[in-house]
Amino acid sequence: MNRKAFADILKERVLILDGAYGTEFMRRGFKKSPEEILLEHPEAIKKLHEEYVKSGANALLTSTFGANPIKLSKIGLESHHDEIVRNAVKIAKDASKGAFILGDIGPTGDLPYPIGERSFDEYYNSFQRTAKILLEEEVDAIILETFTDILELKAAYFAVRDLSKDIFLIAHLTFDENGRTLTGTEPVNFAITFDDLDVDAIGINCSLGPEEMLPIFEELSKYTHKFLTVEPDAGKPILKGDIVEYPIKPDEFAIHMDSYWEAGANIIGSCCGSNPAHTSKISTIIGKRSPVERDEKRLFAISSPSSIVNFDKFVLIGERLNPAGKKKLTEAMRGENIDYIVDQAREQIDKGAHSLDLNFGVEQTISKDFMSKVVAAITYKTGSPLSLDIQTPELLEFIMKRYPGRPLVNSARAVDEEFFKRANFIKKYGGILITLSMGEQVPENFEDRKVSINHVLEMLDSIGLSKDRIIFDPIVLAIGAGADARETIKTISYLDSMGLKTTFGLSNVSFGMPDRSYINGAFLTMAILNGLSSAIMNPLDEIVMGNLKSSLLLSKRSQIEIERVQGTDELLNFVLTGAEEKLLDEVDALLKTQEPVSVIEKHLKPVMDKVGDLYGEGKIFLPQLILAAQTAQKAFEKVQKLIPSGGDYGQFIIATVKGDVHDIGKNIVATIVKSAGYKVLDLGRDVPSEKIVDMAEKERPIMVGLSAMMTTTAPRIKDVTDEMKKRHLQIPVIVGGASLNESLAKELGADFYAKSATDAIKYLKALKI
Amino acid sequence: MEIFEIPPKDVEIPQRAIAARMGFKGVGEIPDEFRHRYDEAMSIAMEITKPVVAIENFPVYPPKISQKGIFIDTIEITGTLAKSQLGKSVEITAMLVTLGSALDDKINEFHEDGEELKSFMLDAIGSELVEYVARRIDGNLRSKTKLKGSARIAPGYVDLPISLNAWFTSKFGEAISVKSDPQSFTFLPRKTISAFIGWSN
Repeated sequence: MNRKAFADILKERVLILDGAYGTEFMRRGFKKSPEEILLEHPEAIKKLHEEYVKSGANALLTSTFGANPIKLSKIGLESHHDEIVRNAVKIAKDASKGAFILGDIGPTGDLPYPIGERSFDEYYNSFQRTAKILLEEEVDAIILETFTDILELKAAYFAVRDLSKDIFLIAHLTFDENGRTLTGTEPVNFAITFDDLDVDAIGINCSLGPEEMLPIFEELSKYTHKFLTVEPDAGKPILKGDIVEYPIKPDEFAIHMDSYWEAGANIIGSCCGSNPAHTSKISTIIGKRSPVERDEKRLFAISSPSSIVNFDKFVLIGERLNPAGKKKLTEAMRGENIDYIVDQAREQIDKGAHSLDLNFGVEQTISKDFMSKVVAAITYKTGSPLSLDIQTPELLEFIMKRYPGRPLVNSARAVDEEFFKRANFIKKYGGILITLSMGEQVPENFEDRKVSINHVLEMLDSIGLSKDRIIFDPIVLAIGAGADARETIKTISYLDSMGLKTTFGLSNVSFGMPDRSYINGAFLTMAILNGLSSAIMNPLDEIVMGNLKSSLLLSKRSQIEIERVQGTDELLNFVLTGAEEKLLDEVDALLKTQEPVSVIEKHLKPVMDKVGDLYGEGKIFLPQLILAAQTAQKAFEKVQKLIPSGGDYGQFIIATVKGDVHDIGKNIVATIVKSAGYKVLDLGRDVPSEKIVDMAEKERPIMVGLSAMMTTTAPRIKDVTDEMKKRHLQIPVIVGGASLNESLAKELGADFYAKSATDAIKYLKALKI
Repeated sequence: MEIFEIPPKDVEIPQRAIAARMGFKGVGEIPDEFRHRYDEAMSIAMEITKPVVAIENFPVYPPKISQKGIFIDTIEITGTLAKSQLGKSVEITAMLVTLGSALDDKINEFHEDGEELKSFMLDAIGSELVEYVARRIDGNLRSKTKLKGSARIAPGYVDLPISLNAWFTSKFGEAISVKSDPQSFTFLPRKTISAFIGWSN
């Protein structure tokens, strides 16, 4: 099947991918890897494929996840590589009954330099051998799964795409609970880096269960324009004796599938710990649905493996990694002293650089492998994205291909051949191009620059690159040589009025002049006040840095604003903004004309209901919810004091269980419950089970809330629920915390599971008291 | 064992990380509306936290026949994560990083006073601060050695047993005033993290 045909199918319907192979074979008593099983017991592979197809999978993975030569060499099977890959495809096809065959390529298990020892080219060559056989055997698509590092994934991507422009290609990273890969990449970074590449779908698999993976998948979905695929694990593995068990059973797994579909998933499968029963449930839930339409955001940003620099805020690009006039750096470049270069990078970052311009000086004297190592060392060790200031096109192309993230490329003039060459690199390898507002000749004034800018925009359009792939350099010339700096300022203003981003080499303006720092500082201020987006400058110059900070402050450009949620109800605006005094004044005014009960029922309670809805709909952030709750709480307390019966809706006891000292989640829930008019008895953290039950017996609350953050403390919940049963206390128990989920909550004897801070309110309201 | 203190103001934390930790997902920075509250919480954190790190390098012992883990000091480090990251190590660095108990007290004090947002923001800043202290140490270690460093891995992550925290406490706890719960293995002070880095030739 060709790439377009596969894409056309995904536009029409969501595909169901199969589930785990490695863990399922272990569960079935096999002790070896799927690649070894494929050689020794191919019938077992075929049987599992058939079971997945029977369960509703309409896409099968070949058993080649660990079949790249580097990984096979670790178990002595490298010489069987071609045989394993070919047979895996044949077996999958034999079992497929029309299901699509996805050639599976997994990571090597080795991290890249400088975290590990592997080079991009070692990865590339290894993956290309596997991809070549998969393509010869005519798989329908290729999927790159479970990668923990963005450079290794990029190598796998190019290994496949360089062989075939006509194969549908999917690329996955795997994330931890904090939403980062092993080498620090966030989903947004993954999205912006791979959106530039000619990949068809991106996605996430492994490491996390469906509940933990969902917010990461949603974040990815917000920023990518590619098709989306997802394969969560069946929970985190639990070691029971010698047996590894995955806790999430098919029914619980399937609960989350609607959310993935709503978040835009085009292919849904399952990973470690799942089996055909999981696939069957996914298939039942998803059926033959069409994919949902997504509304993706665009981010004007560059990245390293572990950080993103967004040009919506002013970006300082350090200029000092340039050997011109620097003897020690020149020696370090020639002597391949990477540590010195990284120290120079760190020094600039410590002083406030967001990104670094990297220039190798006389490029012909430096090996391209060393250049590649320097790029990797700086980006991985310091986290700074780079501006690649490389003049030789062949070297620039070599480095761009091996860049671990989304780079800035410095630069191209508005000269056809030069611009198209570099713009096509941007198109093929990703990134943002700094484009000079000048042609063959140095511009004399703004009008000259404007002609070049317009020509660049025409060229950009002709090759199908959008305006958010370039940053204009308005050209700074030395005033000491007679240039008029105001022409540059006019150009910045013009570009800003067109919504185009700008950057320039600041120090050029004062070349040959005395008191350079003062000139640079003043010029930077003028430029920032006229809309400059970024500057390549010296962060070690305190005078210029002082000008930068004060200019940004004066122009109010150092900060960004969140979307304001304005209600027509003044009370809502007061609680959302934490305007406690105004809220209490308004409550006083209401109390003059209304009974206290009415103030709660008709005003405060509806306002907090609205706040809960806004949070549930994702229109306000967690800090806004907390601020609203703590503000409203004061108003509730004031009014409740005026009601003889107390005026609350009942008492709620809350505690963090014995052994667990993480109480921030518990505290937030307590505040939100109070703000909804309930009386809260907070027993604190690390509370013995017996004390919780004693208090429940004494106070007879309408509900007990328990929080457990750790897997090691979750069992204490069962101690509480068992003891409550023993004492015949029929009080509903709601539980929450990072270690819990719906089914585990039930197993621990809880009545309700609170996934988010507002769920406790939902269940409290549902109680019939 | 080496112990050193790091002034919190020397630890640079990207605002994006704190914003995400606080729940401002997809925003990238602390929004203007919350800026003064954030600045106040950050100022308190800088004043009351005392980041301190205990660190020691351990040689890796060759495993006996039938043993599959990685052996240092008195412990066996098991699991697939340990195998992939520490498997080739000739020595392993263990580190315990804490911000001290004053931060826990302040977070609790704000909660008691009904200042839940301040309590929450301080907690979020503490979580990122302790992580970035560890990153800083990590970076320093890598810059000073010719050996290849593994990824920094922490007990509780993937299948690296959280019970290893008990060993960290027994080894370093007294020196930097850190305890762990004998059953849940959570640390006190709460903003404390442990980690291994493997070094190979």
